[in-house]
Amino acid sequence: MFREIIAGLHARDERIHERIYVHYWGYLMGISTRYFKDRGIAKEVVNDSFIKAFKTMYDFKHDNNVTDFQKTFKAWLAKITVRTALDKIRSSKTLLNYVEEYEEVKSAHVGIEDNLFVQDIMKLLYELPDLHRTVFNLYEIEGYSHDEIAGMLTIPVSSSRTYLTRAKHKLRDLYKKSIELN
Amino acid sequence: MKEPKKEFIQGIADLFEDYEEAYVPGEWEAFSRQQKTKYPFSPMWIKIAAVLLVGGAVALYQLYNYRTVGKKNEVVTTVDKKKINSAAAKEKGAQVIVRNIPEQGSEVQKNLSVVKIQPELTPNSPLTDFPELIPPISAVTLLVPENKNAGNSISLVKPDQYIVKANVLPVPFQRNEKVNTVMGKPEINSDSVIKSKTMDFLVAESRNPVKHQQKKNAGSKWDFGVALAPSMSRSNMNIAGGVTTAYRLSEKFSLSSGLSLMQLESGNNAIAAPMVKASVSSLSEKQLLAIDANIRAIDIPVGIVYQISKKIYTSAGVSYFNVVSEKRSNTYGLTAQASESFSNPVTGYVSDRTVLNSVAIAEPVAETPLKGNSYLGFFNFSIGRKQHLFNKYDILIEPFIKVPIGKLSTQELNLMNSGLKFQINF
Repeated sequence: MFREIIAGLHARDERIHERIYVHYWGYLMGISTRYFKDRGIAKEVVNDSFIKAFKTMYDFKHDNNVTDFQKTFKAWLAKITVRTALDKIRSSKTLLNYVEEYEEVKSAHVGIEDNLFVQDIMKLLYELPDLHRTVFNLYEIEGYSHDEIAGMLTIPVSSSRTYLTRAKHKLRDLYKKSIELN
Repeated sequence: MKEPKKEFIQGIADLFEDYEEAYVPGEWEAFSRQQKTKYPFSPMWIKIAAVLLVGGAVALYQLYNYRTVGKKNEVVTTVDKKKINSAAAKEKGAQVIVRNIPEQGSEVQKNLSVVKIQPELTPNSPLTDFPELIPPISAVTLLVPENKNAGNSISLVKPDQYIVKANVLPVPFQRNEKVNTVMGKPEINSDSVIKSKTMDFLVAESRNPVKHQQKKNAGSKWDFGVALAPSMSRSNMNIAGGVTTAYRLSEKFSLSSGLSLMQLESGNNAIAAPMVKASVSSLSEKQLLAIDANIRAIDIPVGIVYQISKKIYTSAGVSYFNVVSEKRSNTYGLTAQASESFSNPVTGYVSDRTVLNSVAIAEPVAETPLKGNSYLGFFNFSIGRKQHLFNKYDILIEPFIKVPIGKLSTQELNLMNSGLKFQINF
């Protein structure tokens, strides 16, 4: 399949759009839903990301190595989705201007008791204020540095650090509570 | 020994690293449907449509103005007709105003002056001595040729007679020439008056096409047009199309501008020193041979046009150049050492030999250094010929050359191009 995509990119053949969309839709939805609780918005962001990708992918640099292409193309799509999600967040200003204050409980280390399930963790993530969740996603999952996050969200680097710490403490606390309940 | 528990946050990061949802059937169909509705036309077609729309709007505006002027004349004529009718119906002494006002600024109007016949000129006046005067009408306003004796346009009228025609032909009249007189009863055929006047006017106009052209020129200082300009830059063919406008500053000079969408293909394969010379292995090397770019840009030229003669003109100016989209590709020459089996045709002995293989590879480049930027881009020079087509339409054929300046001239790409512009003015 990736050979087909590579050939399609070379030939600028628009018929590969469907293959790419169907193959990567789930992956990009996985990213987008971490930023937006509303599935409709998450889907919108994914579609916008595909539109951007389809416009520019013919110039995507690769060395014709299928294994490398598979990794780099996926990472490239993920990056587009994250950027599109951030644009969406920025466009609805209230999301980033308002940070819900909550009682900070400091939890240093919490070990995993059982297997983690995506749906459970998603529920915990949605408990976080949007800005905290965004910083957490960008730093812990996407792997951006605090400097990069500060630039992307136009916040001070120190705020990025603070929001991350608070988000982590809150998540640990929520997790502990959920284990106690079960 | 028991393995330590994984930290919760690290667990989340690992969980989401390659997480993906299952594809929901129908998503692609919904997406492609939405795309078709959202963008039924490609951006390029939208831009072309916008340019045509602007051109069409300008043309319609011109047409509307042209018709409005025509209608104004019609209204005047109708009113006058009624007045003449009413004058015919009314008793002596009623005021009649006879007008046939040609387009403002026209040659005819320039040659006309208003003559008012004073109210004291009554039907009882001894008019036989003044055949120029119109006795039965208390006040008559006539447009008659300037520098001519007013009397020349008006026929002899006796005390109980009415004037039925005021001829406004812009041709010389002979003194005491009888234009038209109805003797007897005060009946006025106003239709024939109007038709006759219009016909006379049109005949006079058609006899003098030069004056007609001058009238058009004197009417408006603005010229509008649509242009198509194929051009060549090095070995590539480019195309530009758009709308143009010009404002006449004086008889010889005018200021021209416009808006055009330009597709420019350019390249630079005369790279003297290799810009990239990266060793792929110890035995191979990659060398940048050429850069090719496909640029779409909005070009807004501003220039001064000098009219050398009636039909030949020359212009010089600069262009504001905004790059809308840009696609680049680099062509690399790859030289690699390879070993090849070689069979001696005489001895049949097979031996290995080392050969150098050279191939050229074109790679698309993601970098678009020009895209989104605006430049004071080109010096434009041209010389052209204007040919009248019909009515108010002219065709202009104009060889031109565009020389990049400022930042554009320092680019790796050679953007200089020249071609032939075809323009329709209206």
